[in-house]
Amino acid sequence: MQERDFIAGLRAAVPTALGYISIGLAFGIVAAGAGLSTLEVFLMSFWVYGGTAQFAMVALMAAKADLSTIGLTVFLLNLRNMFLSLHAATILTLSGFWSNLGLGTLMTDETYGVLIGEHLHHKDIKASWMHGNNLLSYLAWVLSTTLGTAIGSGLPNPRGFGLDFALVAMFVGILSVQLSTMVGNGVKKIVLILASVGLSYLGLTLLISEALGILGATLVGCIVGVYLDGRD
Amino acid sequence: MVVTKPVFIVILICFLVSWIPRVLPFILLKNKTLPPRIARLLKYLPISILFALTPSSLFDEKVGQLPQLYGLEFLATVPTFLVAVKYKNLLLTVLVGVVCVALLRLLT
Repeated sequence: MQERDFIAGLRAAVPTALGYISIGLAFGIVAAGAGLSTLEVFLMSFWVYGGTAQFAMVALMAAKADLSTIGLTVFLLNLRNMFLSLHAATILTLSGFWSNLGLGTLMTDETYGVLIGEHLHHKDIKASWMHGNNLLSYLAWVLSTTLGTAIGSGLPNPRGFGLDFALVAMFVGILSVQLSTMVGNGVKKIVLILASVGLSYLGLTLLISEALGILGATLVGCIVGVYLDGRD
Repeated sequence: MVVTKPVFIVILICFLVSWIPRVLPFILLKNKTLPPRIARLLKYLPISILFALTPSSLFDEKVGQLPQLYGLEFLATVPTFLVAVKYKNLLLTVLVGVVCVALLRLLT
């Protein structure tokens, strides 16, 4: 019975896994362009396992940010996952400490999304179903990012191939997705938030380091967003 | 195939700060929610952080001087953005961006 749930979970994760393979290959190319080795990217995906977080790590390392800045940024980005875990823990039929630890460790925005979709049809979802859903997505991410880096670092002259631009291109791609989901909150608000981030970034890098400028501008953007929400 | 010590330490720290918030709710099993003020702040975090990260790759910044824009790379963001909006495929977006920069460098 448990096994059947697990296999059903694996099957439910196929669309997520395909998405991860495409993003993972792109991320691997980005990381190779930024000078990371295949083994480093493998370890990063294996331990950190987060799209936006890993993307931010690579960009901040390229900007020569110090450890505390990178740690704080990744921490803030991952606080979101706490909401997902809070909600998922109430939906799933939980079973035992290690199983719970596994559920929290490998859950992502996407596997959570699949869980919510499943929850519309079935109210009683077993932990083993979620393990299957999580595991296939995780494997797809770890393997495809590693493969992408191997491909990227196999190229003889990365700069000649424009590979150093992969980071910016990836950012443009991720941001356009984020934008299209946030436009529902009002275009004017998004424009104001982005303008405040851009201006404070340029101002801050004049005064302090690039890495702290990124962090400072991010916080300004969040505060402006909350302030505009309050005025609605 | 090497792992440098600074990169390894970054990975270790980032593992801890991302793993702990993820598993805590499952371990504590309490239906506590975050304060609404913090919840709202977090809603705008991804978009702000992503937007703040771009200029760091498009500008050459030094403390005490105005950031210098990399013109060629900036130009390449236009077709990249159009592809991203039209096809919503990250791998394709990255490949188109990389090819655009490679071609522009070849031409200039």
